[in-house]
Amino acid sequence: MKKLAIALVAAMSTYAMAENANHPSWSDTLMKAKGQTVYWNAWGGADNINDYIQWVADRVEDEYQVQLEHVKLTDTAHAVSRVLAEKVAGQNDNGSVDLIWINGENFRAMKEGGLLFGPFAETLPNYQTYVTASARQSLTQDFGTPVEGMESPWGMAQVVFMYDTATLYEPPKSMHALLDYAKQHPGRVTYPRPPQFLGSTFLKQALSELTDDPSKLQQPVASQDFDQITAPLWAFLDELHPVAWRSGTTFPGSSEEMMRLLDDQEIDIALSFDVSAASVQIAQGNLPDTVRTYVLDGGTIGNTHFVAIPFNSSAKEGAQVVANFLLSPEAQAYKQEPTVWGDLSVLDYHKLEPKDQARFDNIPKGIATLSLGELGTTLPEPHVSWMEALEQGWRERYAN
Amino acid sequence: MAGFIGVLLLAFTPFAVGMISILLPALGWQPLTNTWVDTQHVWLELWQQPELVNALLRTLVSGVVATLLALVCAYALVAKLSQTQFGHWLGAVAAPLLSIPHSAAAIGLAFLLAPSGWLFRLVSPWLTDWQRPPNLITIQDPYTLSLILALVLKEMPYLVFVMMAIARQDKIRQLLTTSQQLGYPPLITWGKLLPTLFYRELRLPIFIVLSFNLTVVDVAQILGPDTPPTFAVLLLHWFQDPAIDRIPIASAGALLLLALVAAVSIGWELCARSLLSYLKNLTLTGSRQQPLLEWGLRFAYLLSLLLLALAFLALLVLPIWGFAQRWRFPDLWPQSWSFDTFWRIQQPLLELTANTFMLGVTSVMLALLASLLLLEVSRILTRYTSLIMILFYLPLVLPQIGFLFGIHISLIVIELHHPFWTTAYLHWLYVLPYVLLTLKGPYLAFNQNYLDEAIRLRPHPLRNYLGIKLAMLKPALFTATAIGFAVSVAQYLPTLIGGEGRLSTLTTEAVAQAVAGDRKRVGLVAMTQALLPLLAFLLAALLPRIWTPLRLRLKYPHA
Amino acid sequence: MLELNRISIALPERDLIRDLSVTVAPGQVVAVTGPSGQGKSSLLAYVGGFLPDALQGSGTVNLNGKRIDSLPMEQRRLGVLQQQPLLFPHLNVLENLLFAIPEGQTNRQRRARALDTLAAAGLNQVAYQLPDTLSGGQAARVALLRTLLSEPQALLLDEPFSKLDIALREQIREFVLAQIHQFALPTLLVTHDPEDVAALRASEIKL
Repeated sequence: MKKLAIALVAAMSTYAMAENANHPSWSDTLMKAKGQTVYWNAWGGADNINDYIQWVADRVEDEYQVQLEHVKLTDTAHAVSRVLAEKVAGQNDNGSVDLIWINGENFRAMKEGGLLFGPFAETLPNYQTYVTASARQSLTQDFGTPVEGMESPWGMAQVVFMYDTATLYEPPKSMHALLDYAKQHPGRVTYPRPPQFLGSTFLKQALSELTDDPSKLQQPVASQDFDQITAPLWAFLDELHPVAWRSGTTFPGSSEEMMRLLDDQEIDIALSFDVSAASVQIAQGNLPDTVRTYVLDGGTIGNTHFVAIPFNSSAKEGAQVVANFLLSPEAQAYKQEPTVWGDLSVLDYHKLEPKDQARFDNIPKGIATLSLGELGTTLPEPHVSWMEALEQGWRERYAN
Repeated sequence: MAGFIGVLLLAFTPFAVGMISILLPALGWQPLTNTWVDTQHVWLELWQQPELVNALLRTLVSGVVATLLALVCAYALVAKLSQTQFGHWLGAVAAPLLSIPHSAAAIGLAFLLAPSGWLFRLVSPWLTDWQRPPNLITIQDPYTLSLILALVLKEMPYLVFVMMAIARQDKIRQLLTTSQQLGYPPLITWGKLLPTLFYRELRLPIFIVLSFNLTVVDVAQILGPDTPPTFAVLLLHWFQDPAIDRIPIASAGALLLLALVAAVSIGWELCARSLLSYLKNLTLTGSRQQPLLEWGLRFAYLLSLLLLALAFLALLVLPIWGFAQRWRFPDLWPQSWSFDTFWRIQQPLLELTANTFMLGVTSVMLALLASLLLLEVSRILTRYTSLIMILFYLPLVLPQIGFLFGIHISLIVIELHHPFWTTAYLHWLYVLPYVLLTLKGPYLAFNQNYLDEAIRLRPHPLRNYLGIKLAMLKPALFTATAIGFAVSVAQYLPTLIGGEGRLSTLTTEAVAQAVAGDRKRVGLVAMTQALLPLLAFLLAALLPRIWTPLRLRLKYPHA
Repeated sequence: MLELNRISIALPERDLIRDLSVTVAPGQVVAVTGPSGQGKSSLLAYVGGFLPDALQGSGTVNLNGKRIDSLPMEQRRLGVLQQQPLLFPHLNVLENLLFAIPEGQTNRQRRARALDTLAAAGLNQVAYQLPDTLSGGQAARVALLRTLLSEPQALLLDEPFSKLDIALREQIREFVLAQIHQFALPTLLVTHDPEDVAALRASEIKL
């Protein structure tokens, strides 16, 4: 008994020390964050998201005296390579990136490269109060890479398809139907170019549907017979490309470009990872108001996106304050408004206080936005190793 | 002298450091882990990249064909027009045309040539029966045709500008008159006799054009193919790949690109020599008729006029998009116009313009200072003149992509964290050669007797230098400023890397949004990007002319 | 008094002038004549301190008893007139003259002096014009006035009349000679025109 007590005390004190060393109390963090400037490197390709980030900047300055600067990226990989270059140069503090919008492959690269600060996410007050990590696999497994508190969730996304009801009555709701449609309407179907994120997701989406046993995709690719599992995917693409947009010689670079092509009527079906993208673009006059969103009958792939803090950030406290604010019911509800962004909340509805629940209940839904129910089954992302293997396979077949 | 050496060091250190920083990884150094792998392994892996061969092929085709076409079209234009009034006018507008950032023109071109673009709207649906854009591959085509078109449009005005200057030399005019008196029609003289004379002075500009075309990133991102892209774009992808193991092969690739540029330049020179010696033999036949040559030149002339018209349309379409509200295919004009986009983006637009302007002014002022120093030294020590000039061509001939990444690493090593100054410095590297080349002629041709006389009359060397020599060189200084400013505005890769992503200019914004972004927004940004240098040229042409009369009017109002 | 003592000027491969010595009294004009290419202008350049690097010069030059051949150009206090008037094109006539007037007077005084000089030469109507609007004769006279206003202690004239119309030359020569006498300047003239020698009543040295 005595032994056990000593062991317990020892364990407790080690724990407490570790707590003190690694996780100073939140009030300390708030104090240190005051006056810090946080350079948030976040993809800047969509005006509505940029505006939302600006709103966050105004709010954290008012409330916490943290200066937030949005560094607009065309590709998150740029910021990753910048942090990498800084590590190469031995610059272990005063890095140029303080906060980074990230998930998937970029997160894996940074985590494995030792480029991240943390763990910090699970110590954020709002995470502890409102997030239920077990609610979704993607909150703890970012494309098969364990999150382990090295990034803090920000929002959720699911692949959706868009079409114009004025020209297309029965949208194809499976990969086979999509191929049939493309054969009947040559040049009107395409997908973003891998390794663009949405493009790679399209490959995974198609693979999940076409392969015999999708559960194998949850295992690391090295343990599987890649050629055998992916054979139906390549056969599908080999058939699709000759009847695809611009005969499969070139592909759109992003979801934004797909929506523009949809508006131009160059293509008939666009993809997005943003469930309210269509409503937002209609409101801005970039899509006709006859455009609607749909998902495939078998469900579509969904994932969570996060923010992370580089190891050499000069404003780690400020960055945590921002990450925590992003998890507040206020920020999450505002973000989910379709005219603002329409990005899905990562908070557990049942953990919210009634007034915050009401806030979410009152969010107006855009005419082209699907409800959570309509979004149907969310297919899990395959293990992260599949992404690179699929991209490599795609490069070898179609990119040369 | 200390200043002279300082400027040389400032100008060349980055290139040396940058080159070393890509050389080491290409030899197998893994920067992150600071370990070495087998050099052979790196190069083998580069060789095994699936895109490699095709990307190189596309680079080679687009680079060489674009250079050739730009050269032939520019030459034909100069041949037809240099001795005419219209030609003089064209020579005068070539410089401002030159100043339009190529990315803006490329964006405009994409707006024209896409299947939903303006050219297709012009003929739809009344002629083509297309109610919606046809499924044609008119931009980003695998044959790099649209890329070639954009590159020709970018380089042709530059070559016209250079060639017009050559064509106005007395010896060329006399030669044309003489051979006309001997019974040769002018076009035959241009086709047979003059290429040799021109080529001697064109060699360096051609190599600059060739190197640019083989290594261009921004235009290739907008109009080039994507499966695979050209090699330079592929390299950028590799350098920016979060998978860190790409750095060695990306560095090796950068060296490969460098070797490609060198090899193509040598091959070009060999071909040019044999062609010129063939033409020389042709000259000796005494034949006054060469229908093939003549019609070739005429065809190239028509092509060049067509290209100029296309460039004009490409720039015209930018503001139309910028102020359109809703504009769907196949409408020739927007259904409705509005300032909505302008009001919506005025804040970022103002910020981008301010950044672009400050970078331009800073780098140009520093480049002017450095140029004056270098030119004064080379005026006194004439034996250094050609050395300085050759050294300063280096940044124009060297591909940007490789060593800029190296520069990035080295800047962090010395803990330089000033996005603005770093970018201004990188801009300066590219602005300097242009300012130097623009000033060189007028500066070295300045009649030093004026300054000698001034010094005899008033013993204040520095005041006289500023008040007499520089004041008399005003037109050249203003032109150099405008050209330098235009060069700075157009910089894409140096801004991307020097600014650490914290500094956006009109150019980085326009290129980033060009393909994917909202066309209304891109139209406005690209239009502003194109207007800024044009404004600078307008001022450069106007100010020196009205400066002295205006000054006297203000100082002696009664006179 | 301008004294040239054993002046030699040489190209790398041959001598142009050997051991030339001459003394020019105040108000006196000494003309150096001879075919071109013999180093006439180089002699003036050596005396004036602007001999090109390609040429080698030696010998001493004294001005009013002070040795000046090792001084920099701006300290020799010599006025030089060449074929071209070298008026600064971006300054008006008045400003060109003000440029030459030494410091140490108020701006008002300097300006009055420049305007008086112009008026005395009958040029007051061009004071506010730019040099490129002047006739050849006007420009030559303004150039001489400018040189004189810089208060030189000797004059070096290098073919100053050769670019002028024959009708004008007469007039300008008189003008120059009058100024030389008025300011009692020792003057060294280089020319190939015998009429210059006669008109300026110069003693002639033939090379």
